[in-house]
Amino acid sequence: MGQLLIGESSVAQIRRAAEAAYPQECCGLMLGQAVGDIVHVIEVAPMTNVAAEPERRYEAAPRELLAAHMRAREACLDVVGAYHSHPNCAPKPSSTDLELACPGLRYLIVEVTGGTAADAMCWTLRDDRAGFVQEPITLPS
Amino acid sequence: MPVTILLPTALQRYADGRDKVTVRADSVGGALKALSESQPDLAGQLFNKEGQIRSFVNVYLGDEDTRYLQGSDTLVSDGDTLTIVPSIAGG
Repeated sequence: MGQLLIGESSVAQIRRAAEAAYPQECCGLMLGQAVGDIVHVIEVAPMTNVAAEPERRYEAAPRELLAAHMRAREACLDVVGAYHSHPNCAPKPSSTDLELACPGLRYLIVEVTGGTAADAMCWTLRDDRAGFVQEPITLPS
Repeated sequence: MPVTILLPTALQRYADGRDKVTVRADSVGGALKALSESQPDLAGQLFNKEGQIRSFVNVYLGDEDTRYLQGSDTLVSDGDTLTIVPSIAGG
């Protein structure tokens, strides 16, 4: 089983973004390095949510997404995953998340209840695309 | 010069670790088909069993998202760069 290593500052940044976007969903990329099944997040890249229904969907702005990929490539960082928030909903992937998931990426979902960030969970797509596998989130000491 | 296709890190393992592949094609659809033929493991990730491009696959021609151009019918020329970017979308 893999795991997501992510620093406190990145976690705090994601939680702040999730709270600031509430009751809409926030989204962004996680950049870092993957060594086998261990993914180390080095920085996060917030994206503008351009979904038509941002309170129940998210979609990263296309040009921002491409620019972030190009910047990561230039900085020798990998796009290792993405984060988004679930307003008043458990941090578990939806059927929409499943349809649009890319193999190999880690998906960090943060629940925001009443405007306050709560639980966060990390998921990765199963090889058969039948669902997700939860992975532990570890804060490096 | 052929068309260069840049691959995201998440999909590079399906292309023998390559971060880019060059193909000859005159459309985005043709380029993806050529890519799939040269990288069969990657084909299974890009296309579903019905041969349709999976929803998470976005293709940029330069800095233009081809969903807002002519999609798979978008014409490409030698020297163009296509970038495959996994969709960051859901809910």
